[in-house]
Amino acid sequence: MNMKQTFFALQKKLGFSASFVLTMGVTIGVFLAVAVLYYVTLLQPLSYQKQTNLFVLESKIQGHPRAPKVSMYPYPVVTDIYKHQTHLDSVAIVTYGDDILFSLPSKPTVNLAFATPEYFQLLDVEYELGTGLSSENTLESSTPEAVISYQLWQDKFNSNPDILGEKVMLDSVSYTIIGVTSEDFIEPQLYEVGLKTDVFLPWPFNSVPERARNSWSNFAPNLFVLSYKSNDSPVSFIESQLTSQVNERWKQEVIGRKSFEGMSLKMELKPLKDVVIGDGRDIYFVMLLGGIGLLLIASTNVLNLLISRLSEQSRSLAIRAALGANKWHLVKHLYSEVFTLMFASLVVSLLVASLLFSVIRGEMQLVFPRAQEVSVNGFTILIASLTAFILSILLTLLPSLSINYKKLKSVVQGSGKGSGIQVSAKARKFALIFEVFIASVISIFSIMYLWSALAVINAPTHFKIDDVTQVQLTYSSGDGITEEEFTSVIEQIQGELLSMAEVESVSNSSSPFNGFSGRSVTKVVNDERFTVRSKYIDDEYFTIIDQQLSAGRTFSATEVKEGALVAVINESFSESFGGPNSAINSLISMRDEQYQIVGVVKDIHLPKVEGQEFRIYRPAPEKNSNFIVQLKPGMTLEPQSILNLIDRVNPRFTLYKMTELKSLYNQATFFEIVTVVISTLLLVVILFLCAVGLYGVISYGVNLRSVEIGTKLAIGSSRLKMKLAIVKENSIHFAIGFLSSALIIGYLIWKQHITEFVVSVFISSFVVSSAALLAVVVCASYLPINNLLRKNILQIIKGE
Amino acid sequence: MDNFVVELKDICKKFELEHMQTDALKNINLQIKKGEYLSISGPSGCGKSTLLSILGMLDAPSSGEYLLNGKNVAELSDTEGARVRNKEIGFIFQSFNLIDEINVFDNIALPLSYRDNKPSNAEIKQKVEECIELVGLSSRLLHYPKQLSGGQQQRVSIARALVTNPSILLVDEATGNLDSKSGDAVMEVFSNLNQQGTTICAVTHDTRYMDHASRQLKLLDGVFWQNEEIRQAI
Repeated sequence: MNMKQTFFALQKKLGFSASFVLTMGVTIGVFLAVAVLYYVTLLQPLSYQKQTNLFVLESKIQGHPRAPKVSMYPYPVVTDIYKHQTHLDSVAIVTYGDDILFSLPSKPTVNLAFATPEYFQLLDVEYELGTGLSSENTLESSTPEAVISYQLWQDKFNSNPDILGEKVMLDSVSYTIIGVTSEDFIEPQLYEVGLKTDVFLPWPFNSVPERARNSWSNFAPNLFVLSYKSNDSPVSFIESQLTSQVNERWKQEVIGRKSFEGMSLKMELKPLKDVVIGDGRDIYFVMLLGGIGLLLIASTNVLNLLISRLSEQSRSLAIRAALGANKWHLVKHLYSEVFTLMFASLVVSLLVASLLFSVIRGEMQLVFPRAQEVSVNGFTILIASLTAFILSILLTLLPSLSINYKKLKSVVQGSGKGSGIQVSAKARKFALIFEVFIASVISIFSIMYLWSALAVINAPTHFKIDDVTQVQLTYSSGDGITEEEFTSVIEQIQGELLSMAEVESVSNSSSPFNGFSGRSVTKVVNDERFTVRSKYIDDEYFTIIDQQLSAGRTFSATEVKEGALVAVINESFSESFGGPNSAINSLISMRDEQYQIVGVVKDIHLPKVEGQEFRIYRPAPEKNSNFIVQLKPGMTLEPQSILNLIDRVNPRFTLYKMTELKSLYNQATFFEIVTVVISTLLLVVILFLCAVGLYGVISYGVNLRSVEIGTKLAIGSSRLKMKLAIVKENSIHFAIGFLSSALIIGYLIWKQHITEFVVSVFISSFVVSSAALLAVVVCASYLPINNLLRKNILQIIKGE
Repeated sequence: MDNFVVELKDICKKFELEHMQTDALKNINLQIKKGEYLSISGPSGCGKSTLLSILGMLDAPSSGEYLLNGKNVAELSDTEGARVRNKEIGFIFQSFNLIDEINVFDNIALPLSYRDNKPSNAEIKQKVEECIELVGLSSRLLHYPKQLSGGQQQRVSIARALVTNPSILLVDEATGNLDSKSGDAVMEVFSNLNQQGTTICAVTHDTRYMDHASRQLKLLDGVFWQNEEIRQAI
């Protein structure tokens, strides 16, 4: 293999070389990104030494038809497990929150994790500076100490090497920094994908309100039990032991409460890795499938390029054969070119993958749980090199099949017919069907995902998200504040907000995206039990978000002020009473208090909430630090003006967060937005590559048949008939490729989960994909024959 | 026993086109001795190039036997055939058939790169320099074919044919694309090579150069004719 000759030859064919390198470089790069993401997320062990023995103990509510499927704990159950369980070798408990770091001038909002000291030991946390939380900390007493993340140390403390011993002020408590986690520490994202803890604090300082800390009936989804289990204890045995132990205590605490009759808690040990990955395994598989499909189509296109290149080189190859080169020598000659180009593609692919990895780590960390672990490293380079090597072998061997060695030898003397390099009609048909098949699989899947994501994004919320902003305040520091003072400040701020020129109206409530908590409710008339999502609101809430009333009325200002025992429920819940009108004046019992239903509102739809939840709205008995602000049309609210306003009223309060409802909605549908972008891009790229590939194959075939076509024209066939014949011929190949892919996908869907929605999405994807691909096939068939038919008949016959 | 480089026994070559059959060569018998300079002439379409293709193992006869240095070439596999072609035959084409993408040195060295035991770079360099000197183009080693005149390109192709030290040089209308001055120079090279012991079988229809050969044969409609026979036939 003479590399110098190869370089020189390729230099002279810049168009060919650039097409090869760009096509393969970009597609291998995309394949690499999805393959590495797939591997890192689903197959790569977590970065903790004991990772195979780490489990999350989950609590599932049993015995209630509408019980949530996610793990939820009452606070005392978690602490009880921590203190009394004996079946697991080690247990850490952790919960999450966020707050403003008042000790820094920029007052940034930081994510907090409240954990027991075992958390750091189980995860083998290493430290850039200092240590983890000391083991003297107990659930009852703890020193206010903090471990900060490497990122926070870098970003907010300028990597200060003397940080240990410094104080950070959070929620009126001053914590001493005792450690900085190492740069390599990857925190398991237990609560929310993409949520990275900035400050680790001892468990007792968590933000769970005192009342909830003692409530055995208040279930929260953000309490986690991380555990270490040795290999010799079977999971099922531990689960059953813990289930008995937990239920024994829990049932004692809720005994006599009708809401919990027949209910129990089931303890499940879930491998930490499964918890971190979550439920979205399918998306990785589909993305990998997309990556492989792209690679296959791109490879088929490059194969076409190589065959054309080989035809172009037929004279040179014939000379080599005449001089004694055997077929293997010719293959080696071809390989030297393919290898050189593939090496350049490899470099491009690593650049593309690196770019995609930075997008995944930066923009998509909220979507992919292990996004921060993907990078160009030895493994990535190995995968890229292996892929490039295998493809270079295939892309050498497959075109070399088109070399007719016996014929090639005679070409040089001019006694043989043709070029000695020709792809058989069968191979061309196979290439057409194969390209259509792959493109169909990917396009049907892409459109299905696109449709599903758009359905989520475009689903009506049934409440207003435009021109409404959520404003959250926090009480900064000082010697504490009385309830009266707090109420007075909140009322003053509400008044000031209302007087702003930009503001239409203000509600002292949280937005529809938050503020709901799980409650158990009993219908007084027949003791029927329900699990509902409950929320405290004021009299302006429904008006501001434009949530329509179906029956009855909303709350009056007086009812809110007095904390009257009245409730508004949603339509879905009202069905349990026989409909909206029947529900009015019914009584429901909650926490030993009876509420009278005074109104029924339309259901709201929150992204990703499957089905309709039963909701209940009650007048807020106390003021809170959340506002929703309706702006006048076209107006915007600046955070600085809110900060100034708060400062005027009471400088001990500050702005915690200010978010438009539209942004909250976009955050909630971020996964779907990413899905729309990825599937649209994939669809466009696949259709483009398919069009290029089909054009190449069909064009090659049409040129080979120029004598036949010319002759038919010469004996009286019309140009239109020839065009139709070619389009019809290729449409048959399209039908075979497309229908076989649709059948396979249909079968896969049927095997998985068939719902009305899935069937409708599949059918519409099928229709759109077939239309798009048919258009591609028709264009790719029409253009080559049209180009050929522009010549006169003699030129066509002579192949000029 | 005579030392024949080439022996053709009853060689026929038929071309089949749909339902029609054309006999390009009819029962050709030919023996070429080592060191002989044979010239084959005849009009266009008489089968000269077909015969040369068969001799050069670029094409196979429809029937008959071809022995090259006593070995029946029909019994050789593709790979063995390539090896024999590389080692025993030097082919010089009318259209030179140099590879434009590589320089003169690499063109001449090309056959050596297909050897089973590829010579070292130093050996290749030495052989290429020897051959290019034989054709008088030492100063053009780093040029590309397109930078050379037709005569110079043909001399490069002669050097390429000689680089493997073949048993026989097969020359197909070597002067066909050259002006008379360049043609003379090329023919001069062949005469010199033959005087040094190289076996040559040249096909030409240029009567001026037939006298350079030690034996002359005429091919007409796929059959060898003696001058006497042609006259009688006419």
